[in-house]
Amino acid sequence: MVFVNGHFRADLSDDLKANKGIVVDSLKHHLSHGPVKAHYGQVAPIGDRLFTAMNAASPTDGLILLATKGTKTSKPIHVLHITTGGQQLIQPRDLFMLHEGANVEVIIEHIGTDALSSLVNSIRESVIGEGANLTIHLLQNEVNGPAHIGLDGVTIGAKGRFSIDTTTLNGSLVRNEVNVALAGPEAHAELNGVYVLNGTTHCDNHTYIGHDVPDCTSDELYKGIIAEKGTGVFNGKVYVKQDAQRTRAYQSNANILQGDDARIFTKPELEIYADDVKCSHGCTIGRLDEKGLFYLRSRGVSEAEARRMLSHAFMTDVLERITNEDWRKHLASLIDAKLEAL
Amino acid sequence: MEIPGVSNMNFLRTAMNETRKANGQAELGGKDFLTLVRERAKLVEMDADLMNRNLNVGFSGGEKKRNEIFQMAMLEPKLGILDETDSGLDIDALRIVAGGVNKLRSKDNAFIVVTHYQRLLDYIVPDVVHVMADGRIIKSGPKELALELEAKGYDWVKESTGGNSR
Repeated sequence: MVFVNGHFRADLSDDLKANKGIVVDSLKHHLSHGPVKAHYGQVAPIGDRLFTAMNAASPTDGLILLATKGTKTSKPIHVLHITTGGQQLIQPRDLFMLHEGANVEVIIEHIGTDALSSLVNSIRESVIGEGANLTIHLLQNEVNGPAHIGLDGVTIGAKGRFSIDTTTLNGSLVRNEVNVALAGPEAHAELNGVYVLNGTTHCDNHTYIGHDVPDCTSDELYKGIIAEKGTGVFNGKVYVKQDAQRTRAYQSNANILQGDDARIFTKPELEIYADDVKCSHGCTIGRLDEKGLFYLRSRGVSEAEARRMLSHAFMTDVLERITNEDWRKHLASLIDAKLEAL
Repeated sequence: MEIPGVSNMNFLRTAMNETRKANGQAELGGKDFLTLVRERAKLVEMDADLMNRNLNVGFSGGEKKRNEIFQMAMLEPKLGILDETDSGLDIDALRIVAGGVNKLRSKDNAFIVVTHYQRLLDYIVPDVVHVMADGRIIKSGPKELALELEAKGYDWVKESTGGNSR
């Protein structure tokens, strides 16, 4: 599915009826329908968040994805957002609804050209039913792209599973918020992120995982390399309610800084009110391992190549969590090309 | 040195091709590389499993040494320095490592084998033996010199050459 400056372009998109029992369409056509009305604005409530209010006031367009009970996407649904031109306010609004046992995989790719003075303010709400499984691969590759503020609001039912991998390679000001509510027992959320920042790119990954009920698990791993005058931010919070016994939550953020002007602000947080839990959080900031560089160079690998190999290796464990092999390979080659340009 | 995230194969291929590039040779394609890997792996009895694993990650001491010899077989240095290759190796590993070195020996390359013990030299038979003490070579001779040392100890050679004894 192709969206240009937030508007769905049927003429550029494939046939959307490929999967039986799964509705994929422009949200505009469905705003008055019952299921949409029931969930719209519920998973990502406005609260006191200005950007959510702005988006709710005038969404540009968006994607509706409704997967009925037990359905499965035969191959990932690829959504391409193209932003071109400046001085625009683009407010995509997506709603994903997965009924019991549905299994959906979506690739969401943002590319942009000459859109520096534009703002993309996106909201995506996902409701994952009992035993359903939603996988989102998010790629942000916007050279001279717009400022991009995005929020993923997710609620996961019992034994449901949500997985997102966010890869940020190019952009001007990027902020990715992921708010997950583990709302049914044995729900699982996995948040993975990779970023390679240079120029003056600012990338902010802001996550909140709410363990609301017992026996849920969450696992979060964000890793990135920041060069030149790039800035990275990681602020992850895991909140374990008093009732959420036997929670297992892991959170980790690791960074490599290259050069004196690269910056990272990282703050992993745990807030726990239950007493029978297993949680960990941590962050690291460092440089490439000099001993490793020496080892590679002593075998004839040039310094530039050795740096590239170690940089790539640094992010390998995040990439290995991506179960879609084709997508993983695609990301690996994009990351390699980006590292080569550093 | 363990490097997680870099597979043994990927590392070797990069190292080989970088060396070839520097020497003005064409880079080796995937198929030719694999053929070469299979051929050279036999020399050091390397398991295919070790090739695909991350560089030295979780390798035992013997596996690491074998991997070193395997790297040598692939990268074909003109001069190889094996510094106490025999330390910490059991008899079988020693035989395999030494066998690898012997198979790589040719008129176009040279090896400096550093060791404290004669045992390694039963497997890798040297052309010349040099005795080093306090950073200087104090005596050189044919391979029999090593046997003599084993029988008489180091003090003998130090005294006979006027070197300082410990």
